[in-house]
Amino acid sequence: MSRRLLELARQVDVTAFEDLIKQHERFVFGIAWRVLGNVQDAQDAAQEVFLRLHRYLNSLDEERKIAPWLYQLTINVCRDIRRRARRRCVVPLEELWSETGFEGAVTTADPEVILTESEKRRILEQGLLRLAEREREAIVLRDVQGLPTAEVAGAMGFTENTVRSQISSGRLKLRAFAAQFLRRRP
Amino acid sequence: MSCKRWEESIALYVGGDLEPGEAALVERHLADCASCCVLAANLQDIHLSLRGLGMETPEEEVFPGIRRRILSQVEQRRRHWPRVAALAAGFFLVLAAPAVQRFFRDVPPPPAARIQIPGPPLALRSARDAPERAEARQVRKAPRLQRDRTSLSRPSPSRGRRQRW
Repeated sequence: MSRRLLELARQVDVTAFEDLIKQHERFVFGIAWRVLGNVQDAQDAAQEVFLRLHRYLNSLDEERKIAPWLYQLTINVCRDIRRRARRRCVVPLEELWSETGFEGAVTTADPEVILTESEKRRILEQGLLRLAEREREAIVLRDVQGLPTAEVAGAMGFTENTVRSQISSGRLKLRAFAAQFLRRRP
Repeated sequence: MSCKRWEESIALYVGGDLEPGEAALVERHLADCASCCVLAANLQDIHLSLRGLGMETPEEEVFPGIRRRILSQVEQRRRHWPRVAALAAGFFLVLAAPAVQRFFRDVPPPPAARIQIPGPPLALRSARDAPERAEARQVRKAPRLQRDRTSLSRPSPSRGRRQRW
């Protein structure tokens, strides 16, 4: 299906190119959203990824799957955007506290009992933004998007062992962040 | 504290990122260690929540908006391409014109055709050219005579010095 669309898109078929976008937009946007931390930058990243895809349509190898190439491209575009922006959306814990609206919640630090799934996700969303860039990329690709480690390594341009080490340290830091967040609650 | 070294392996274990052999080792440790069991449970919970984060999508209107922006840029690029190409070609011609002109100016003129007209017969030629040849021989000899004379008149430095002595 993807190969047929690629072939049609190469023949300057705008509808085929649009279908190609539709097929991959959620995944590309999802990666960019979690890596960059906001919708606006993620939109810009997704746009840039698909414009680059259009530019390189003719040089794409048909035998190679388009998706891994797109993940790699998305990570590179996100790195470019971050490099350009040089800003990190770091929200102080106190601010996060008021943002998530947990005032008056139970004071125990046992996340399993108290937090709803949505609340946990909001905490992890903030935790992700506090990770080092490479750790965040690894966690987003492996845990959030569910890609196999080999594909994560391909997209990030590292070896599988390096990626594994980033994944494990990222997970441990997220756990520490969640625990710290819960301890700070009144 | 002794479980510190297991943390990394447990973090990988909860996501299924360990080889079967390593996973078995972790499982054996978890069976004996209560604190590591808590850690594994917390990490497992985080892992599942992260997966849930991946299921979340932004508002539906985000995607048509992105698509519209991409397609309009693609269309714009395609519409502008011939104009840009023509502009580039014109620009190139303007830049290249002096070089082309110089190239054609510097080209040497084509070699003139040489036509050999057969001369008069040998006997006739030698008779006709005899006085001219004699004159040419004189001219060729003259510089040699002159040179001999100058070499005689100009004393060599060593000779001059000898004279002074």
